[in-house]
Amino acid sequence: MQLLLRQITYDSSGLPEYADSELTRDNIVIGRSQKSDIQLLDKGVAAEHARLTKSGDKLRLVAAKGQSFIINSKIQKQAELKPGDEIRIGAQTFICTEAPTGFDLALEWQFVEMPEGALSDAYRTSVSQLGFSPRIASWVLFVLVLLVGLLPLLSDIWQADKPAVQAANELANDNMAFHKLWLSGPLLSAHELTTGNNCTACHQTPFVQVKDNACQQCHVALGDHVMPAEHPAEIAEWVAALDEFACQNCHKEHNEPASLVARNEGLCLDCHQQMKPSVKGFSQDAHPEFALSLLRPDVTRQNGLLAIDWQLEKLRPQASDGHESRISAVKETSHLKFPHDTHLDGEAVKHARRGDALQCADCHTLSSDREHFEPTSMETSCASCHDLGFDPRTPQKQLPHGAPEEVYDALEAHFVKLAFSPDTLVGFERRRIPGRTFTEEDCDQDYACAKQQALRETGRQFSQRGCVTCHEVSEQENAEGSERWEVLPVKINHDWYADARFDHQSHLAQWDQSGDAVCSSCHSATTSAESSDILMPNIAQCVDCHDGRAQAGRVALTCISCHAYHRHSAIEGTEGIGALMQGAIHDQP
Amino acid sequence: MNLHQSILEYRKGRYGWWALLLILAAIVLFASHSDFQPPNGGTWQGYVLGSIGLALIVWLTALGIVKRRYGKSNVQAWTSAHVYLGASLLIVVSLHSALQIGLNVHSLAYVLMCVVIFSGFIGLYFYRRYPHLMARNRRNQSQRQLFSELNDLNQKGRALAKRCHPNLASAVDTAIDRTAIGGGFLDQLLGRDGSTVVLIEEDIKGGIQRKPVSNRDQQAIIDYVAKCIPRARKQGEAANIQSLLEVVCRRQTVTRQLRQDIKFNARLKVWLWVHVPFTIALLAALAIHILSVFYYW
Repeated sequence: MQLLLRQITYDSSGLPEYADSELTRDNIVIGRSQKSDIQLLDKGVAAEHARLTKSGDKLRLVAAKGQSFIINSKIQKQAELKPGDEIRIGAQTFICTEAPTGFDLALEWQFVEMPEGALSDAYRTSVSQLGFSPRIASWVLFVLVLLVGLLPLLSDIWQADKPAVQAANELANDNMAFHKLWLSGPLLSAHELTTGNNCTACHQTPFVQVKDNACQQCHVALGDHVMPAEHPAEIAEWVAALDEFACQNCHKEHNEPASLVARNEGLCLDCHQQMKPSVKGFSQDAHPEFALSLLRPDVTRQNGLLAIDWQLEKLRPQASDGHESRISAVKETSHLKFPHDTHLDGEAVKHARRGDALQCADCHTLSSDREHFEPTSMETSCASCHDLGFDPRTPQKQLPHGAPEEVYDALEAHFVKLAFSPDTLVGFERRRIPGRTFTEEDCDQDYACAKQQALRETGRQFSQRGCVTCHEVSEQENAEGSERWEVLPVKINHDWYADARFDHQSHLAQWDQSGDAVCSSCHSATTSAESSDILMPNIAQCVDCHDGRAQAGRVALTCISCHAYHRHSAIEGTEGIGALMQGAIHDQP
Repeated sequence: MNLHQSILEYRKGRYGWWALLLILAAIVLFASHSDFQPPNGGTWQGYVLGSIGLALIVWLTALGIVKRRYGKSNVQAWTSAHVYLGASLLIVVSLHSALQIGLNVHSLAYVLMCVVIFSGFIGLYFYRRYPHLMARNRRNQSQRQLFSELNDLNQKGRALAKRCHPNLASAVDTAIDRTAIGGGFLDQLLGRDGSTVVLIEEDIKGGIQRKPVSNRDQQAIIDYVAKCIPRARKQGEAANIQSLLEVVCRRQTVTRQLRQDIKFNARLKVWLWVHVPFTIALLAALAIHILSVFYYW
């Protein structure tokens, strides 16, 4: 539409002045904003107050939403314009006149000067005028944060309405997405798996700390730290205090995985530095000498038969008289004769197959727990050199090992057979062997002769060569025949430091030595002539490399590097699991 | 006595020393974590640090109430302490959290707190800097006086323009009408100028071109008026345009001052739009944080 706008102002002498302008627009916007086609700087005028439109021949003035204008003294929201109409918007007055040719509308604008202060009102000069309310924003954020934060609880309520047919696990997993918002840290993956992401598996009562019984649902085989019976009455107080010591005190979940196990020694030393022997850390002075677990045989005779009761005796490092027990002063009684020095001397003993000196590993095989060694046995370790032949004529014939009562039977069978089928060895038996007491006159019949031979050979095996080379043999003067000798059963200590952990595997890798030299650095086997020598290292060897505190040139050890807090009482049929579990902590960084 | 004393220098920064002591105490407490448990919000040190943080947040929030009790409390002291202790909160709470950040309500509270504190730092920077700049910019005039002068200049300009060539008159009219001051959020905050002017120019063929062009900083209209001086034909017209040029140049100065003033005012207010709503959100997050920690203890 074409609009002719005539602005009428009056000069100082009161004469009117006209300023014409033409506007060609589809819609002519009247308002306060500087984007309007007709700008009215007036507080009572909206940024976009009204709009002139043309439809067909009709010209309409339409007020914006919530606005109005006065036309011919009437307040209107919209009106059709005709010549002679007087329009008032704010302080300004427009009069419609006959439009000249070429125009759709002519407006005479009786221009009124803006009142003082109106100009600043025409602009938005402060951020407070932008319609943003910090108060509303605060409330919106407040409610938003509350909703998000309470989602875990709200979802619980929501889930409670769900049909019960839905599996509990599924519910827990659904909820977990929200509950993760409340997690203060990651859950150990094993715990995540076993609890099925269900917070209430451990957090059984709201606002109550997790109780031990939540842990013990799964950790059933955990032994107590102290056995009250083992300790004197004076520490009964501590034992009682430990009973109330919650799992949570040491094992903090939802934390870095490293902190799930308390490893600082302070926790242990709190009690143990006041105990006897006192422990203040790990060094020669701070830590007592290691306590040996020594096997002692209690040999008795019952109804003429040997009975051995093996007692495990723990040698406390400091005896009550104040003298330190020294490993060198203690002797092992295993009933085995074995000189380590001879066997490790390449000149004296050579490997049956290789032909060179024996090595530690030829007899000692590390078990899978990396601490202990597989038991050595006659068959695997000794037999390659020490055969049980007894008659040079029949070297293939061997005495049975591990069954001393059968030795005589085997010998008797051998000699009787020789006596009744002498073809193979005619004349041999008749020959005198120098130094032997055996004479032909001793036996006049083949059978009796063979029996005597068997008896004599049995005696030689048990008392001069054969069995007695390695075994302790008990001889009963008054007993007859094969019952005269008995081999004392062998039991070799398998676990010298039963309450401690040690990883042989990691200690076998040393930068400056290898092979047997590594073993010898702790176990002085090359100089041990007696099997009763105890070749276990003591604390002096450990502190060469280790210390309780991290410092240069030392590898730090804390209490739980070697000791376990929980005594693992093995469930029936799972012996050995305890040992494996004991190693578990050690494997962690 | 110094009439304008910064809240930072209040009583020689007394609360700064308080805050420093608090930070040192928090660090000592944090360092007392044994290797038994790594630092964490759940150790006893963590609980103590968390309680200090909670007390600080509640107290800091109370400034909003205190400053509305006009005359009843020493707002300057409160604000000084608010700034220093608020800054120390950042250290205390970071130590409480041991910087364990995750996608959870606990970190939400921490992040909201950081937003509040850093918006506070921005506000502090503005309040340190802008009052001086504003006073210098307005040259001892108020915004109201500046608008009044602009109003006078507008009227004078329109009156002078009427006596000139209609094209020039129309250009000056539209320049005055389409002068933008303030405006939307970014316009106010950045002092952007969206002014335009409709210039009427004859093209080569003698036709008339109405071109709305940017009148940023009123430069377009000044150039246009200045170009009209040598084209003046009628007697006295040149002098008239000369006066008009003075008016539009003065308008440039005044609109500049106004725009700067609005910009500074906006900045002094806008940081609170972040500071206050996020404080309220922080209170909600804090409540959730405490609830969730002890609900699943």
